[in-house]
Amino acid sequence: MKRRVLQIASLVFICWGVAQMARGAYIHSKASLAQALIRRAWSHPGTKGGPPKPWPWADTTPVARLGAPMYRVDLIVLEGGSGRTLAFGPGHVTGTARPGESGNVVIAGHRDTHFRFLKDLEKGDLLLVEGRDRDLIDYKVVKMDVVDHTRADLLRDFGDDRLTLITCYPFDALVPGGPLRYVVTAIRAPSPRA
Amino acid sequence: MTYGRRHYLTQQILVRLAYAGPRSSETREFLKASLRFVVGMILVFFGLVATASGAPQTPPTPPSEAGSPKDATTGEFWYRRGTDAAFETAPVVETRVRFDITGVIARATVTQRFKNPLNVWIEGVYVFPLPEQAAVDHLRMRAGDRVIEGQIREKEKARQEFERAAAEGKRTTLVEQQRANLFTSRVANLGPLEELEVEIEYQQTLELEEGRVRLRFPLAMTPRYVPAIDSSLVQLASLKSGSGVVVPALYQPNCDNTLVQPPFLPTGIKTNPVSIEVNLNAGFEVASLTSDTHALEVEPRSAHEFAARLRDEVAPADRDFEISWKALPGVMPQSSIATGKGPDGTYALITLFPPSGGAVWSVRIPREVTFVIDTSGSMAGASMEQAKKAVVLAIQRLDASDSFNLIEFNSVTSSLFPHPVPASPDNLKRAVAFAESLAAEGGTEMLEALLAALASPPPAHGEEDSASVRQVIFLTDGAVSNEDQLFSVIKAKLGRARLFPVGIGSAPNRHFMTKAAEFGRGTFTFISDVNAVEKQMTELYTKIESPVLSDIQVSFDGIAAEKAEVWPRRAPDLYLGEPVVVGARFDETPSAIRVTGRRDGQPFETVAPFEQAQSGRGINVLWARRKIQSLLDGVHEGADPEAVRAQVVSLGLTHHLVTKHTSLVAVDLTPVRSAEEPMESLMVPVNSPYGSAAGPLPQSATPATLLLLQGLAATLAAWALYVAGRRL
Repeated sequence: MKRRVLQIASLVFICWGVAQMARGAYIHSKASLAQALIRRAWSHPGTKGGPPKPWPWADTTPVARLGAPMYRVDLIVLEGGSGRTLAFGPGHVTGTARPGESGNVVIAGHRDTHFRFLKDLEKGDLLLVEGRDRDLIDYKVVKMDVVDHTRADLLRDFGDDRLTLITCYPFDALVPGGPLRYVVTAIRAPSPRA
Repeated sequence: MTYGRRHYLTQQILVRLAYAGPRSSETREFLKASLRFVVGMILVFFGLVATASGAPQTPPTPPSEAGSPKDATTGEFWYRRGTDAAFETAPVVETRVRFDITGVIARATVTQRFKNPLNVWIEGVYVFPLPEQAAVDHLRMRAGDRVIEGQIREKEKARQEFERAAAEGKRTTLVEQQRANLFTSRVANLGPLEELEVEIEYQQTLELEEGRVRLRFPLAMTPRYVPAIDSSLVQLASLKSGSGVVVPALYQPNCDNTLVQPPFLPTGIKTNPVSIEVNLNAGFEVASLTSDTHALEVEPRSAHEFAARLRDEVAPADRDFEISWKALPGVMPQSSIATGKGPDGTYALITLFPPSGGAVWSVRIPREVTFVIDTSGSMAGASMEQAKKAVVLAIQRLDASDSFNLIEFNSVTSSLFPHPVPASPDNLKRAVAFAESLAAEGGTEMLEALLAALASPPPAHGEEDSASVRQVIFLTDGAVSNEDQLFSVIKAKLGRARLFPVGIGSAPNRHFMTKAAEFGRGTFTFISDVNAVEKQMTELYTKIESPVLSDIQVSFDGIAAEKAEVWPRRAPDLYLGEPVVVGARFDETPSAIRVTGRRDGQPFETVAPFEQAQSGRGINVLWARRKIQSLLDGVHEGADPEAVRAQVVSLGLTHHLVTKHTSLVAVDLTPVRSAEEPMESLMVPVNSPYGSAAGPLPQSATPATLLLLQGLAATLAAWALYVAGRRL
């Protein structure tokens, strides 16, 4: 009898465990696979209406490419900072300056997938942004801050050309939904390749 | 340099790296993260299953830095001035509130103790909410044993007086109204490590429903959303107005959109403690005295007298306080009149329950119900869950003859169906799925949603359509700052529709809800607790499915009509269980008060003799507050703003009231700070409302690692159990 109970418990645990692992793996695979599809859409020469949708039912379009050469990071940025978008790639926060334009370009990403590299960034690091016009802009990291999620002022225009990257903080917290954000500020630098 | 060359370089730099690196580095990172926790897996598993549902986290320590908030404790906390400044302590305000309640009137004394934790002279600025009907008529400043009484001045004059005294090094306090329910107190020349008390008194009428009286006191504010600039609103409005409709000049730039908001602390940190004391004389035998929001210690003094205080002597100011008492069946008087003398005559506050007829319509009238759900960032967390639950409950209550629609709004508005559809099982199923998929993020651009909800439906059903009832149920926390603009829209576009705001969250903007209900000729509901959703939504439904009392007129017997001045001039429509509440000023005392109106087309009348009136204190203030509110509302109907302003100033000065255009200021004549010492102005940070989750910055974490670890732990546990089982 006792043995039977243990067996059933074991079965329940294994089913639940596999399900949880599958869900976790799904988040990561969705993040990677989507980037591949989006990349294809981005490299597409594009039509008049901008780049095509990465998959037919996508509710977002790629708007920029973000690179951190020192960290071997190359990501396609999508439009919008909603949870739906962030599952597939970093999102450009609607209402802030468009990538490639002057002003404050704000991009948010998941701390455990695309934007994990943010924790390794240091002052002086180079970030590259390629806007829809395919022009490449250099940014130099000037500071990293931990702020509360209510800091809407970070989204405003500071009168300079800057790139603001936002992700959840702390990086290793297990439960999502904490109140803190890690914010990397980078200021536009003259391009050495010009 | 050329497009081509740079493009080529892009490819060189980015593409080469793209396929070599990120995937493998990502995987490595992920494996590292998993391994790091593998040792504590079982613990993690058992610990986290309990907290995975989003229990509050303690705020983690930001990267080490000069003066990082590592040692932050309750009551003293850290924040940054500017983005680059180091963390430092901020001033704290401790609040004590005492309510003295007689019948349906509460006199409240709010004592704010400002504490300066710094080694410099400061000016503390504290933004705090008060009930939307609060009439602030008293200010006292206490520093040590010196007590200074506040004087009422026109707003601009009060500010000048305050600023002059502040510059001269004198202790001074200014209490201003920012919004009908949002006030600011400023204290200048608070010395290093000094404390000072600001005592404010106000008068308030309580909320009444059949058999129950309720006192609400807001202790927190939800950060208000300041919408995009007015020019875009003009555009939006003209787009939405459709062909041939000229948008009225409602959308002109409105200085009311400026709003001073305090810094909000992260959700994990609590400050600004509050203690509350209630002395109640109900005037009838009380069956029960309860609070849905706080645990109370209640001490009965007689059948109708009670003393109550918070069980935890102090609570953080992060959610509204609510206390209500129920009458024993049949003992609650059907009318009450409180009267007292004041400047320019005798004043009275009259509360009267119309006789309740048949509770519900004998024949059910088909309804067209539009649900509007606020899914802005401020709703994230418990509020969003409450709203979803409320909508799903409401949808399930619809009858097959009803039609409905669902509109969601944050920065943008989207509706489920292009126009209201019949409540068929299929449509209901789609609506429930839609409601359950909603997530809170983005701004609170409420105007577009209001316009969409109030837009006239296409005449699809022809004639019979005009017989149906149009109801808009609007679920929001009201965290907006353009209230006046929204009221104007409601007023202008309401038509046949009726608006029923439902306040959600631990600190909804009650001023917005009550006024929106008034302009929308509906009724408001507040849901403070997720467990109360069902009960409160059912009550709302019973109300809106019952006949309405309309065309309500208040008159007096025994005196000529011009000898009495009643406010509000036009009583609002009444729903089931709601009383008529008016303030009146008399030159002569009347013999009785008479209320007439129509219920479901049938006239009714009720009379209460005036001799039962009880004398009370500060009745004139309640009357003046009602008159001021009505005058300000008149601006939405085209009254001259300058004339209204003059009237409000004169009422404020006569009745010693803080209003939109008058403030209270107290100045101690002896300077305490010499001119050489500098003074800094600091906002007192306030708590984020209880249960709120996200702010304007995107939510950017996934539970991926957590899920994987739970999975691993469970598999391991399964293996352990299996082995144990085999050994038996």
